[in-house]
Amino acid sequence: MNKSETIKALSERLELTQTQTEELYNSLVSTFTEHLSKNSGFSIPDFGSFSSEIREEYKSYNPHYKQMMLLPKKKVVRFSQSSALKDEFNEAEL
Amino acid sequence: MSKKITFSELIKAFAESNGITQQKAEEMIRGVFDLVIDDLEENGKASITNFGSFELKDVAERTGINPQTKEEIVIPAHKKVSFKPFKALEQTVNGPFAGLEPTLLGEKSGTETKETTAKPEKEQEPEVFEDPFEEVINPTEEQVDEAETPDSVEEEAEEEQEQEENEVEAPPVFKAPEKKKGNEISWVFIVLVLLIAGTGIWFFFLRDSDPGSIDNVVVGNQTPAQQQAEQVEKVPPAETPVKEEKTSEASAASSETKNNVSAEPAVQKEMTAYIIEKDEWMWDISREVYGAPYLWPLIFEANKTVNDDPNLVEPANTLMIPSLEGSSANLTNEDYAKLAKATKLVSEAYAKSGNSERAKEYSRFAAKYERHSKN
Repeated sequence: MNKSETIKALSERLELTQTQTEELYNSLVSTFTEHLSKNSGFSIPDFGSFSSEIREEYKSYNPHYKQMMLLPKKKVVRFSQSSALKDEFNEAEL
Repeated sequence: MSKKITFSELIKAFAESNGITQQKAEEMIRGVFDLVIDDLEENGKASITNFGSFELKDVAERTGINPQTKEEIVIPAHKKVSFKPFKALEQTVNGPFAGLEPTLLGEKSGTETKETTAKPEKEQEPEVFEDPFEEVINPTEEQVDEAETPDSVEEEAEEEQEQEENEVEAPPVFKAPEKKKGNEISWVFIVLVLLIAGTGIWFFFLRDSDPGSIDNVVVGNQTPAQQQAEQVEKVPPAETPVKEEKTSEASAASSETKNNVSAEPAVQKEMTAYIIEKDEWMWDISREVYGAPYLWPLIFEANKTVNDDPNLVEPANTLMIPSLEGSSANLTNEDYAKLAKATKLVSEAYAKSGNSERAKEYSRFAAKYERHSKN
């Protein structure tokens, strides 16, 4: 499903025009991004939670140079699925 | 350290920024993620534009230990939703550390893989303190020198050549990622060859007009490069001067951009730019630029907002340093007023980040500075 299909489906559900929905969609994504870069994670019920954390620098082997490499500190986004989501995809097997 | 906000807070923020009801906002957010779930069920993957992609991944069966009973248990194979942020999100979130690059360590063994040199966030190491200004100033001076001697084209070319040679011999001043070094050398080599060809043809044209002086120069600078250039000169000058100018211009431009990487933004208004070194805190920076560490709230005020944690250092970022009216030893009333305002902000920021003790301390400081400002 690409963006336009998503927007279409959403606009039907929300009873809004597609332009309005697209605006909302874009602003939602920027809201998420903003919260993540401001250090505050958020969670979506029945889906999972997003958070950002600082990954400390670490050493790793670079096979191309055949040397150890120091990878710098980085702030990364983490996602952790909720148990509801996990169950949803694993029902059949359990 | 990341504080999480609740779903209702998220809805509220989203609704307010768009002027829609909270009900609509909740519907919207839930709708987006319901679609993601539908997509995952159908195709095993889904994505949110400009945010990231989700993928359903198989996790193999493995044995684990129940941490409470210490019993070995078998975790059955299952599926897991993984998330991969898109570049746009990754870069925005990584903003504070965007300037950091990986470096080669030169160790051949893989024994130290597990020894991550994790350092605490606020660690202050004044001894290891390196003056970043030095690094910043040197390349700009070179540039100025180059700009000041445009009278003779050939001199400029030579200087450029020297610069290029320096770059080959000495490591780059700003510690460029060594990863690219191999490429860089070959790149520099190409530029060198072009420059040699360029100077050769210049010599050819200049010798026609003023042979004596040029010969002196050639004799004076018997670098192997120029000997080569002489050889090149004997070869019929196939390339037109216009083309020559273009190539030398291009190389000049590229070397300039290279310098700019370390030169960074210049002075803006009354502020000075300052690039944070690793493990430096605003306290250290203040001591460095003002000569007095207690003036750091001024830096905080110029760069941060109430919502930032004052204790969080962000290496490899550029800070703006506001200038003082008086000196650090002799502050004017105006300076005190500014400092009081900044300190108040710091106090509020501390209060927001949950450090009430510090907040109190700094509000006391603010009151003190305010009294000073009225004297």
